[in-house]
Amino acid sequence: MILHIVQYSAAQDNALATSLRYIQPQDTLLLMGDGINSLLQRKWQATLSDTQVCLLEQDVVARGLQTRLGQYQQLSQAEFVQYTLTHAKVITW
Amino acid sequence: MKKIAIIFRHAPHGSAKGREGLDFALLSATFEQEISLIFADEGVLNLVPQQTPEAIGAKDFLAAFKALPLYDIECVYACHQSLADYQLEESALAIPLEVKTPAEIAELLTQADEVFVY
Repeated sequence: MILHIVQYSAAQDNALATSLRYIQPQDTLLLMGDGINSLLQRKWQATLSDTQVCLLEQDVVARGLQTRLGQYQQLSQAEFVQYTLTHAKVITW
Repeated sequence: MKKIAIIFRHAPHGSAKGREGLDFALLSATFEQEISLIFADEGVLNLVPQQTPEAIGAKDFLAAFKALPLYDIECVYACHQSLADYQLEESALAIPLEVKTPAEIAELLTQADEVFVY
C-alpha cells in the first residue's frame, strides 16, 4: 500500500498522469498544493473515479474550493502525517 | 543496506533533474545501497544516444550513465509504455537495460524500500 503524492496540477506537469500509470488499486493518491486543481476538470474526475483519492484540506480551503471539491476526502495535517505512517512508503512525484 | 529505486521522469537538459538523479544514484551506490533506475515518461529521453549537450552549453552528464556497471548498478529499467509514447526502440537506446511494463514497474516500486522521483 503506497501513498502517492502529487503537488503539480496536470496543466503544470505530467506528474499526475505518470503516477497513475504505476498506481495500484490498494494505493492512495494524495493531491496537495496546485495538484488539487486537476480535480476541477471533468476529464480528471473521470480518470480518477476508481482511484482512492484524497486532498490536503488546507490547500482546498486556501483556494476556496471546499464546495467544488466537497465530494473528495480531505485530510488535515495530522491525518496526512498519519497516512504517511499507515502506508508502506510514500512516493512524491 | 536499502533497496532504493530512482525514477527519472524528466527530459534531460531542460532541467537539472536528470543530472541530480544520476548524481544521487551514483552517490548512493558508493554507500553500498542497492540501486535500481527506472526511466519513465519523458525521462526516457535521457536514453537517446549521441546527444551533444555542449552545443547548448549544458553539461554532458549522460556519458556517466555508461559508468553504471562500475558502480555495481545493474538494475536499469525503462517503461515500455513511455518508450512507445516517444517512439524509441529498445535497440536504439544509449545504455543496455530491461524494458518493463507499467505493471511490472509498479511491482518494482512495491519491492523497493524507498522510491525517489527526479
